[in-house]
Amino acid sequence: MVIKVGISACTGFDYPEASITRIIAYKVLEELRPDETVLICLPALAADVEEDIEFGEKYPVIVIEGCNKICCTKIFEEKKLAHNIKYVYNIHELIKEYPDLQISSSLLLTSKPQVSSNLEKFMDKIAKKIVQDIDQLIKEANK
Amino acid sequence: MPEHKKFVVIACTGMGKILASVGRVAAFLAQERDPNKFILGNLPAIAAGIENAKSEIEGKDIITLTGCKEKCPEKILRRFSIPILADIMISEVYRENKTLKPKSRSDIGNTGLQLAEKIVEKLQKIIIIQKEEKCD
Repeated sequence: MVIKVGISACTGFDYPEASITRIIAYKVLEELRPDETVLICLPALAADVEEDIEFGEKYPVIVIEGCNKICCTKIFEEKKLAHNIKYVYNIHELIKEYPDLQISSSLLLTSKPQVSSNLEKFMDKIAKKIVQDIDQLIKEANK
Repeated sequence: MPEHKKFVVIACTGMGKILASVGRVAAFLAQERDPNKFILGNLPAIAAGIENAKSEIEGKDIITLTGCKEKCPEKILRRFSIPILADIMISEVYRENKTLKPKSRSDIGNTGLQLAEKIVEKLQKIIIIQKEEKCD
């Protein structure tokens, strides 16, 4: 079986961090590891869409939470799939380590907003960490 | 001052489909344009059982923006017995505006933004119709 890694990200509305989460997820899914990953769409998982449930059952999962409500984790728990979550990134918490970052609510307005170079660096850094986790998970699965 | 009646917009906010990304932007635009009329409902938080995400929308008129045939907003809200006043199927708005093809799911581009504006127009029309019906 070809092992892929499921990526599930916050799709919330409450905080700009939700948009940052989304951008990081797309960066990983579309640019950095398109062949090694599958998207597990959070509303689809919550709505029991077959494909997303199947991915959640079949593959190890990396979750990118936007805030401390941890909706992704809770939905995986509700679907009895939390055991497949291997890594969790909480952007709201991670961003606290970078007090200089300017997080504007205008980030919420488009799906690919203009961001400051500092924020771009932050997102790249997180995306690269996620890529390391993906590579590790695939390596372990192929042992 | 009487409080304005507000409508809750709940976009599917899915990440897999391009039209879901358009719906997300449309919801933000509607709320930004007219905060006295629209508030946003947070679908993943409702699905995750976050209590104030549900209590914030309870008893209010809800308009859903559906991104694909799976109709996730409808399925999730039904599970929590939350009624929907109206739904906008984004694929139908796109069918009516075929020239406004969004760029991609991660970047809807200018045409996607224009399509989002068309959805905002539909939202505003729904509100006008509701007000007219209430006056009749």
